[in-house]
Amino acid sequence: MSKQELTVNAGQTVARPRSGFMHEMKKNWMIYLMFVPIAAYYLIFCYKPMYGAMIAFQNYSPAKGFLGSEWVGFKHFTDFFGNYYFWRILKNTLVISASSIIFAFPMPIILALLMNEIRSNAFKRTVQTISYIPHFISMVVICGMIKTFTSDIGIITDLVVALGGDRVSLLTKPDAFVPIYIISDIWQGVGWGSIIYLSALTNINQELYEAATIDGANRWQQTLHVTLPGIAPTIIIMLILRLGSVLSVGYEKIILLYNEITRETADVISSFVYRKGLQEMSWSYSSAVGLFNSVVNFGFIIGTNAISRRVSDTSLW
Amino acid sequence: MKSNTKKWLALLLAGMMALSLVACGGGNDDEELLAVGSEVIYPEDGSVYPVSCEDELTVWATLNSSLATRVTNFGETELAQALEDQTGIKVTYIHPAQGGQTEQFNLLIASGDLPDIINYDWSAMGAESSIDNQYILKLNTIIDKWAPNLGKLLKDRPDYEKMIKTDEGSLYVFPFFREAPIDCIYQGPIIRKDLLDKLGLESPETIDEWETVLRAFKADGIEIPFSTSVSFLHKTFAGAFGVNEGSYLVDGKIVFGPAQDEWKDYLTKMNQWYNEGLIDPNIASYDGKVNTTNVLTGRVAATFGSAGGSLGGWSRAKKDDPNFKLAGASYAVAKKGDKPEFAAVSNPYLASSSYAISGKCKNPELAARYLDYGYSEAGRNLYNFGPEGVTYNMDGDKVVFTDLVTQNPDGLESALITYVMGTYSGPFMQDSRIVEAMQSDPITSREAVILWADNKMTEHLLPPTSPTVEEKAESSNIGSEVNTYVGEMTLKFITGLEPLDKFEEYQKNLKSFNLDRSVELAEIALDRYNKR
Repeated sequence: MSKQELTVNAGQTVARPRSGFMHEMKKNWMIYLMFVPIAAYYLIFCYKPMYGAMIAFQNYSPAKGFLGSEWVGFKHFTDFFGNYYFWRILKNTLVISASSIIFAFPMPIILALLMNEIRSNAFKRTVQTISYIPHFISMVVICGMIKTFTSDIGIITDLVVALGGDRVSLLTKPDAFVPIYIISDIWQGVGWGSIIYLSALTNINQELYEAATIDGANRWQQTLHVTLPGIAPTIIIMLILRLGSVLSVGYEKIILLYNEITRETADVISSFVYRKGLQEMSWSYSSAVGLFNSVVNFGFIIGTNAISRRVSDTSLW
Repeated sequence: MKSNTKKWLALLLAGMMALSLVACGGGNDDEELLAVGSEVIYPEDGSVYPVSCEDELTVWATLNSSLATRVTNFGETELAQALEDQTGIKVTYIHPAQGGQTEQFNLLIASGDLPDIINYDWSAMGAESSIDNQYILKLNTIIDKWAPNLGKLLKDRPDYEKMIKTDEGSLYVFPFFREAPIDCIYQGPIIRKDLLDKLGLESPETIDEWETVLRAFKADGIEIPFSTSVSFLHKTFAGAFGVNEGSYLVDGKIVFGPAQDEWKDYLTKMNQWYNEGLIDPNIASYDGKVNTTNVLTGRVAATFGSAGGSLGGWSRAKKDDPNFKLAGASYAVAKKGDKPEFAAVSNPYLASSSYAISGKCKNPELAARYLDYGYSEAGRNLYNFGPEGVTYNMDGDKVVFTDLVTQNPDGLESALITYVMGTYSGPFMQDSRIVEAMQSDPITSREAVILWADNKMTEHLLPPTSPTVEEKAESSNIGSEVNTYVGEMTLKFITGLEPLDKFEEYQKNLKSFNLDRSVELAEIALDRYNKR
């Protein structure tokens, strides 16, 4: 809807070049009014705090304030790049993020496709509801469950032992951290993530399926040649958004699950920022790390968008 | 139209930016440091308490974890009520979430919106810099004027005064003190006495005896012979190799234990024990609650804990089980007959349980009066033993607890938890009598403390020095890297993820983190402390 209206408006304003902003306001004031809360949200919670990002270039002390604190330029950035753990946390962030894109990202799509094939509506709804549930459980509780399941007497450990592994708490093995993180991520997010694809599926023209059936396509071929191309734009948009946060692995789950021995594979940029900023009170240092993180993410989203626009015509802008 | 819209947007944004600049710029002037609130009115008979004043106080303090299972706010306790009745001062308590104290304190400081009184480890935070930054008030004048009880205590006990002063002579907290040296040790190794008896073994003292005992436990079918957190593991066994975790004194010089060659010997032994299954395979993800269950169900036969809470609490929980008897065991030593070099002994001054008046305090006089009450005769008894007549009665010099306390099946600590702070800590001096009472049920707890107290730790204990702002900044930068690295590598060496022949490389890395500089900085601060 909005796309059409915008093009119409643009056409009109070209015809009457003098009307400008006020005219636009008068004409579409209701739409702008609806936009105000969102704009306010971004201004207050996303743009205003950017002002505080300047403490990344200072030795910030709350007593001296934003303007009174001593300027140190790029000191915190060079400190971070020279940190003993810099490469490790960068590597871990990329490994966790990439594994999550490779293994976790396709899961909701597969689930949506599977659910699309279910004929019984009651069964479909039950499956959907059950798969949503983990999304609504608090992260702390989820991590408590993960810890219990993977402890030395936990149910998942029992499974590992049955398959020939040692009876050791899985969260004390650096190698096991990423799989635990990703698999539990899938469990938590797969149902919720599939909603957007399910809604995209309902938009596919049913006639296409009829035509495909007449042409002799079986269900697999229909999925491959009708369903997937039908939801491809949604998938691509989701992928671009996902790649935009490639360096932002959330710290909540990490800090709830890691310990000194698994930091080797589990410590990521955000958990490092958390430790530095909130536990060690190095506000400026952790801001610098956070800012670096944001800049890289920004680069990623621009890059992916440009590639996507070139190869597939689908892009954010 | 497009460019026009953009202009408007830019203007709007610029406006927002300007506004936020104004909002954040103000409020930084050097205001009068001692705010004056409403007048504090004292009783006409010349005594100090109860005062009356229109102002109320806010206190930000950690809620004791045992107490937190009973109440959500300290204000709900009988102690808080009695304090309000006796001092006449109304107080609102604010608590950080359990376990989130550091984070929430840091946010509190960053927000600049400080309550009147803050309970935190201000020594670790850097006392002088906290005063400089106006997080807290310098208390010298305040104590002279409005805290005569603490003033008197400090005059009577110069050894205590030395511990809570900065090198510049500033006082900055209402401290928690322990009265006697034996009160400063209350934790140590705990072992299943009944199993020792069954296997015909003596309680272990040397590291070899410990090994024999743990192996015997293992052979007897105990799944995890010894389990505790990493830090307590070091406390129990590292001393037998002549090292300790963290920094400590050796002949007056500061030594960082995990960088010493002896640390390797210790780790080698622990690695061997880990491989033999003598210590907890889950040590990296150790959880105290799980450990309690494991001790009570017999999966664990030896651990580390406190005399009152762990040894006493577990013994009471299993008092009907004739096949379950706990006792204190010695910190490991190298040779038979040696005294343990190191033990979990704390300074008589516990910085983390001390209270400071914040720089934003509305009425420092009232805050001082409130905090000073704990050092008066009446206040000290209230904090330690609870309201007289309710929880205890005095029989000459002896404290006799009432049935309310003695008849409680969960023990004295649990019975007193809402009535006193003496069983843990707060702004007062802990009485030796409450400590002894806590450790007397069952009597094996007290016996354990007497056994643990026989050590040479006082020679090694670092006093509470006060580094300067610059020293603090430099050493905490080094410290955070060193501690992260040591914590990780120690666990990896013990669990075998990192082979022990990497130890020299580990030592080299520690050097590259500038460890020597941080030790040097600590020595400079120590010299100043000793010269006080």
